[in-house]
Amino acid sequence: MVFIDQSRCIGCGICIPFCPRGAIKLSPETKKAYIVVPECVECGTCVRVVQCPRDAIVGVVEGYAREVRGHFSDPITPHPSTGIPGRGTEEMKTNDVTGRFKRGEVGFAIDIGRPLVGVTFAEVGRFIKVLNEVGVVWEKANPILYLLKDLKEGKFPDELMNEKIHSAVLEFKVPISKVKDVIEKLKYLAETTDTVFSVGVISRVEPDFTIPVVNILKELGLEVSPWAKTNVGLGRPLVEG
Amino acid sequence: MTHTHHRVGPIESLKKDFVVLVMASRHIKYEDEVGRFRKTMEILRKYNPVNLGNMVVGNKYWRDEEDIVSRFREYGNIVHGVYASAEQVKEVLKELKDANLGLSVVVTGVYEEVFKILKEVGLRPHTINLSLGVWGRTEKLPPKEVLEITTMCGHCMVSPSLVMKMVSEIKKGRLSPASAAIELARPCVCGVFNVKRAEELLRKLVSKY
Repeated sequence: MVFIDQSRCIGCGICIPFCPRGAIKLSPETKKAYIVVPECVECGTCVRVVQCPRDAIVGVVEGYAREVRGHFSDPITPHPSTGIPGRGTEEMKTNDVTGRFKRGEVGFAIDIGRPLVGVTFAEVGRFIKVLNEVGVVWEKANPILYLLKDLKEGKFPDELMNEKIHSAVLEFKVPISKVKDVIEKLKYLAETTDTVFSVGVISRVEPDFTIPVVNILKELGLEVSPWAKTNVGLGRPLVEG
Repeated sequence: MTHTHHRVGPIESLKKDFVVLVMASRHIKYEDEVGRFRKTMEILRKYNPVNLGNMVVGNKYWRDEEDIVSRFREYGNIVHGVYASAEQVKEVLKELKDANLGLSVVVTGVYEEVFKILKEVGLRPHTINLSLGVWGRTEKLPPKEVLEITTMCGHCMVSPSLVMKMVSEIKKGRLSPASAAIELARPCVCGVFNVKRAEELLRKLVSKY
């Protein structure tokens, strides 16, 4: 848990704008900075980057729930379940050597809470339960699945349900014929959630540089951003299929 | 991990933003992975990246650059170079292709621009991750001009309040837009934040607020 040592803080306030969650405040009574603990997601930014003139910002590991917050909020620490830093997996970044997404399949990376709004595990669980109705194939290496108590119902251990994190990436794939069903569920989730989520859609690219899923998305009335991540096929041994 | 994804802004601004990510899959045992990443960093650095990052060490505005280009884990490394022009990316990809290091390379940017570069250097896109943007309670988001800057750190480490603080510091003459952009790049530990584009976006924000 991060805290501000009240005996050292001089109330200069330089740390306040650095917190992406707005969880550092200046007390009107003591004129010193403090952290609103329920809002802090343990991202580590204040500890790493703020040049506090009195070294008053202190980070200590305290309890399982706070530690889990850090795993889903601090990008530089490798997640214990994946061994790689970040909230997700290698997903399409290494698809040239893993072949995780094959032709005819479409992957989704749903980053719940991003950007900058945050999410609780209870809400992540609700997304999982709704998406299960489509019969998606979950990415087993994803850190969220590692924490789940009940995948079908989207239940996490009780002590985590109300914990807030910066974001959680849900990763799954479906046959291309089910893309429409997934989009319908995502539209329902967008109408009923109290947070935001960023949607990534993963597809193999054809040898003529066309992307089969784009036409389906356009037919569904969706706007595809010009911004995308492209795996350029330099990994070896190359998976072509 | 989709940390280079979902950037927003006018197309002309996005066209000046490219992230080259190089990653070793944990499912492959690469002989001398560290040597392969040192060579990768030599290539990324040669073409004047506006940011450089190594997931073991951090970004070049927060950590020592010599450490970034030389210190790696035995396996499972990820590095990034950020570029402000298609020409630079083209040169980087040509060299990475010739070096034949066997590591996975992902280029994030305006994908039609990326595809053009790939054609020019004789590469083919293998897999793509498209963005359908942000869904849900979007009224909770900061103003779009602020998001154009903060989304350059996909892990959301760059706070909207810090952006506005930098705007204020520029207006007061305490920081130049270039220095303020570097200040914003520091929290983005992975080193994927484009300082050149941030500088331009800050200039726009200063004239608006």
